[in-house]
Amino acid sequence: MLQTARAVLEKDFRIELRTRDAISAALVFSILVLVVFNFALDVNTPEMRRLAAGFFWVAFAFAGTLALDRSFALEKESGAGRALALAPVDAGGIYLGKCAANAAFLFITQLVALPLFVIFFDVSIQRAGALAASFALGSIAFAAVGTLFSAVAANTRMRGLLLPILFLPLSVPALIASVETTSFALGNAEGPSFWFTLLVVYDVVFLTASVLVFEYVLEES
Amino acid sequence: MSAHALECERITKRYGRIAALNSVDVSVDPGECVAIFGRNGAGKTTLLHVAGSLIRNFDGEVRVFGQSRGDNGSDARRTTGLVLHETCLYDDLTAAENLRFFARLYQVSDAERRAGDVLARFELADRAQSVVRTLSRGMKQRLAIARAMVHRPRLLLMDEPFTGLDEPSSQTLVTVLREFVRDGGAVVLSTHDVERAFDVATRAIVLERGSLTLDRSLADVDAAAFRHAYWHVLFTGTARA
Amino acid sequence: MSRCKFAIFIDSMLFITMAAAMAMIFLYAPIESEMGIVQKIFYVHVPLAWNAFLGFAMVFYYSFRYLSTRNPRYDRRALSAAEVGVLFTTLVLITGPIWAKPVWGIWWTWDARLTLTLVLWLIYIGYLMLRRYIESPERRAVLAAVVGITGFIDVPLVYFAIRWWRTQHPQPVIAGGEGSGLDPAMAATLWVSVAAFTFLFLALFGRRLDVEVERSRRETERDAAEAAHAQGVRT
Repeated sequence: MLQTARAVLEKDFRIELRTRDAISAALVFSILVLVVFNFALDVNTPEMRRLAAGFFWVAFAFAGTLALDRSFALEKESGAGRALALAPVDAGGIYLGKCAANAAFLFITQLVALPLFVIFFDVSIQRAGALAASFALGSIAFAAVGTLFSAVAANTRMRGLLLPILFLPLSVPALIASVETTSFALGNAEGPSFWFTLLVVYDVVFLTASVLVFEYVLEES
Repeated sequence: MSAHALECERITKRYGRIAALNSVDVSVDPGECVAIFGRNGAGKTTLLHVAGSLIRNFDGEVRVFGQSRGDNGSDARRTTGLVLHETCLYDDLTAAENLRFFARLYQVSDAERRAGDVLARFELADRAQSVVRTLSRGMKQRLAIARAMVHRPRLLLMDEPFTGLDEPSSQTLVTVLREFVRDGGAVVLSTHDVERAFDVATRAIVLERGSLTLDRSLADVDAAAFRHAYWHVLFTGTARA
Repeated sequence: MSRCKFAIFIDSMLFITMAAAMAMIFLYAPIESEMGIVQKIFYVHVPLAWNAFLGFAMVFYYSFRYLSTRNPRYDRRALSAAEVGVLFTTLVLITGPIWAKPVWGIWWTWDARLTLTLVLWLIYIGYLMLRRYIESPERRAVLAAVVGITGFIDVPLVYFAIRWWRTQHPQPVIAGGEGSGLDPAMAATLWVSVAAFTFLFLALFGRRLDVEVERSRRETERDAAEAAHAQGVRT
């Protein structure tokens, strides 16, 4: 299973390195959302600065769907996903590989967007370690559910349009926990242990569940 | 009991109202190359998809080298190579990367060398480092066939493999398939080109509206005679005695 | 036939318990001292919410059964449970604000239960939407089952996240939450009402399922007829 996951992960990385489709789309979109926030709400007040983590993750939840959508769109493009599904490998391995790639893409996008975020919202990073953990665990959470639902949505007539509708309600706990942990890292909240635990639990639960059900998503009728 | 390379028993597949396949029985032995003929929509593609376990919800049974295509048919998957209408390639990877990736999934031990070999076999060695998106249609088709063969399958299922190939490439494919069959492989391919099929096929079957209407060896007929019989089936709906 | 008898049983029980519940709500249960007459919506709101939740638990169970058996009957049940569940959730989301406005002075509060209900509603709306956009019945059943299972797994996580979030972000304290030291007459009324709405749920679920069974029966008949017709044309 891990061998398959590695092969799929390397394959997705190679494609991303060549095209930069997922990361550039997510990055540009998240910057756009941050800019729109700036005009919709006057963000340069002390109260708004306290909510900065929320803005960042909202931008991210929406931008992330673009990267996640791309993940299975590229499998559908020339039917390569069919060949992948037919290979004598464990579906769970394919899921883990794609999920790891997506989590990495989301994490990289966040790291690149971070300086802009700091500048736009005039926040200061109080606890760098907590911020890294928050980004990493949050990216895994979004990738865990998003990868599964990206594959589900790719099978429908609506394609990517259905992905946010399916995946955002389920990611509510991850979104809340990510906002709280990032907020803690920026020095705007206390008591992060519950939220870090919740993120870890969320990651473990959805990674396990998705590995178990993924074979049903891959098969064709 | 000698195992057939492919055995399809009473295959029925419906899409809602329409029966794409209606109780089709076919078996293919190692060393055989079977050409499927039939009009558009006769069920050729569906039959190949069922045989290749791309479609799993159907009535009847499919066995590959005696092994049932059950839920865990990983041996059956390993021995089958599939060429579809789509190229089944990643457009943003190079030809060599595509082959290496699939070789890895099939746990081919000498993935690197095997990928190089099939590329050379299909005269694509000089384009190994080209991204698939930049290849011509004929090259993509050759690469798609190479991909289906990279894991050394013993059964090849090919949906219109000659589409998009120019004359030299078609000849190459014919040579490759002849060698493959001579070495004990089995091939099932669908086509509209009777002459081309005669270059390589040992047997022909005709599907019509989901039913098998003709199944005959090509050893003792020539192309013209077969074409005559085929057209007779198409226009009268019955095979001549 | 047994399905028919069962339906008659459910319908009779629904009639009896619903009549009893209505009588108890309006004639027997005392008027709540602080909230007044509007509090009586509580006897509708809470049973609806519990049954909506029951519906989503059923979606989870039948989705799981479908994936392990591939029997389309479980898919039909999951669909029926989801539809009635969404209907009940919608009613919860309507009765909640009707109750909240006169009592708390606001239509909506991001309280754990209300928010969970809203998130559940969104998840199962997504489930029903997904079903509309997949042609193949088998694919539809399989993918819907995947969503039905993961959606339900998410419920406790959503609940804990929102509850903890509430404790960290204090909002105007709202008095008169349900369940705190209910008057015995009120408790009795609530239980009868829960029974009545459970039978309402089962009755609607059964009706919805009948429609689905009839539809698939017709589809099978039509397919058979057309297959026979095609056979006739060929020979």
